Amino acid sequence: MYMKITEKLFILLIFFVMISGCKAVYKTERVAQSRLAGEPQVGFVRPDKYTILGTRSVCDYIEIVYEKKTTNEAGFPLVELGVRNRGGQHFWDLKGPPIVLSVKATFYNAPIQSAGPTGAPVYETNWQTVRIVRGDTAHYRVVCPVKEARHYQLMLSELIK
Amino acid sequence: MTVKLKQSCILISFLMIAGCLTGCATPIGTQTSHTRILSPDEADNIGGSFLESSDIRTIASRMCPEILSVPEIANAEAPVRVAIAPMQNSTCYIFDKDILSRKLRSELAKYANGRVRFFSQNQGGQRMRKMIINEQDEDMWEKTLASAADVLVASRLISNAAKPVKVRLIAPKNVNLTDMNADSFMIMLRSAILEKAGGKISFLSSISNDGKTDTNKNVDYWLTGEFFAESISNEELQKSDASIIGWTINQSEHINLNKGSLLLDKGSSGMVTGTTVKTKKKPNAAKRLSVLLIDAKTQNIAFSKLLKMENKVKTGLGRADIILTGDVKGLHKAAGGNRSDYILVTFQLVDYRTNEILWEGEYETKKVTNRSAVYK
Repeated sequence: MYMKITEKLFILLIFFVMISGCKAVYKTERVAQSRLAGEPQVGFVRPDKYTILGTRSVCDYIEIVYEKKTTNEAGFPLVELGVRNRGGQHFWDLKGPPIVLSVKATFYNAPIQSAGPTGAPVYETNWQTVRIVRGDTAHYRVVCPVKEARHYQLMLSELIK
Repeated sequence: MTVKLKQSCILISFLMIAGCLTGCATPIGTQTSHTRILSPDEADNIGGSFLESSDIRTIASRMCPEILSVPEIANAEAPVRVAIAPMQNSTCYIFDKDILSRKLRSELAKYANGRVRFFSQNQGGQRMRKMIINEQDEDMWEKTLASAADVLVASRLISNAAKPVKVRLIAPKNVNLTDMNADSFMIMLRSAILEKAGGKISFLSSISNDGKTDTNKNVDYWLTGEFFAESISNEELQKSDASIIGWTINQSEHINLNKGSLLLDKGSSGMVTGTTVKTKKKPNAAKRLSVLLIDAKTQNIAFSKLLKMENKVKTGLGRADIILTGDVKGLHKAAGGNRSDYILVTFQLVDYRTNEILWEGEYETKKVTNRSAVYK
């Protein structure tokens, strides 16, 4: 008798799971504003290796030398970023490899530091490849052709492939 | 047996639940298809060491703001018109080099906000423009001829005449054109004149009743014209001698030359000098008709009116302020199965008046691969 009830419960459960799976429209969760606001102006994404003990990322090897936003002679926003390949910083790897990064700049009208991006960017570059040999500093420079752009975000990643 | 059945039911139920749950959580698989969808910035893992789609996008992305920052564009009060010259490719790769300028043009058009204008330079667009302009010209023919008739009738020559002026139509002259039916325009003009003259002009037929009588003796004026193209070159067919052969063919035909042959379409006309062949079906030049009224006794031109019958379809490039041009150069190295390519892409903005380079932007890349690829 007890088994029969269990069987019925299972059948009911299957029925409800299948019903819920038949929904055509789902509500997508919206990212929390606080989380977006916590994103840095220059961010590093995509660690290249995930392990149980942690992730390995080329951000272990690079450092930001400078980051500034000015305007060029025509009045367009100009963002400059210096990224240095400082080489290996661990006892097991003191040398470090030459690094190839993909860098993308996104410009916004609305502020992104206080509340995160509140709209689509007014301009964004493609993912541009930057190769930095050990010890060298790459000077990434991007001019935004939209004068009204006030805020920006730079994303660095391992080479997109 | 019953216990086994129950166990089987439970097992199947678990499997179904697990299946449902994993089915809900798994994103749409992209690996099952034969084709992967990539972002244009992603590497395709095919190999090759030449320019990739990401390079083309990077070039456009970097150079667009730089071009818009050039003082001649940034400080211009009116939109700057840019003519794009074909790119030069000096590398060992054969590819559609204009993809670089096309992407750059697209990027500029997107962000220039009207400060930069380009000319349509594709052949399909030009053919369509020509069709539209020619049709509009055709719609204007009746009005143009009617206005010419108005001017002729209102002239002192006609309005002050004591009796109706006797005019005979004679065939107009084609000055430097072929295949143009100027007779039709003269007939249309004659109809318009008769309609507006109110009896002040009478046209004499060129055909006598007996075929012998000289009908010219009663004529006061000859109405004729000269049909010509506004062109430096001679658009007319050259008639032949031994070394220069002119023709107008009525059906597709092979013209044999010393070195090979040429297939000409029906209606083509042309000139052969040695092995050089020039054909013009319908020259792109403004076509005008000079209407002439000639005194039959003195042969003086008593009245003249110049009419534009067809406009030249201009590309608009004459209004360009700046030329955008560029080139792709390469240094190639290969050994064994390895290959290395250094590619330099440069774009220049050139002031066409002074030939000065106003701006130059460059993009360079070096790639090495052990798997060469064919670029098309």
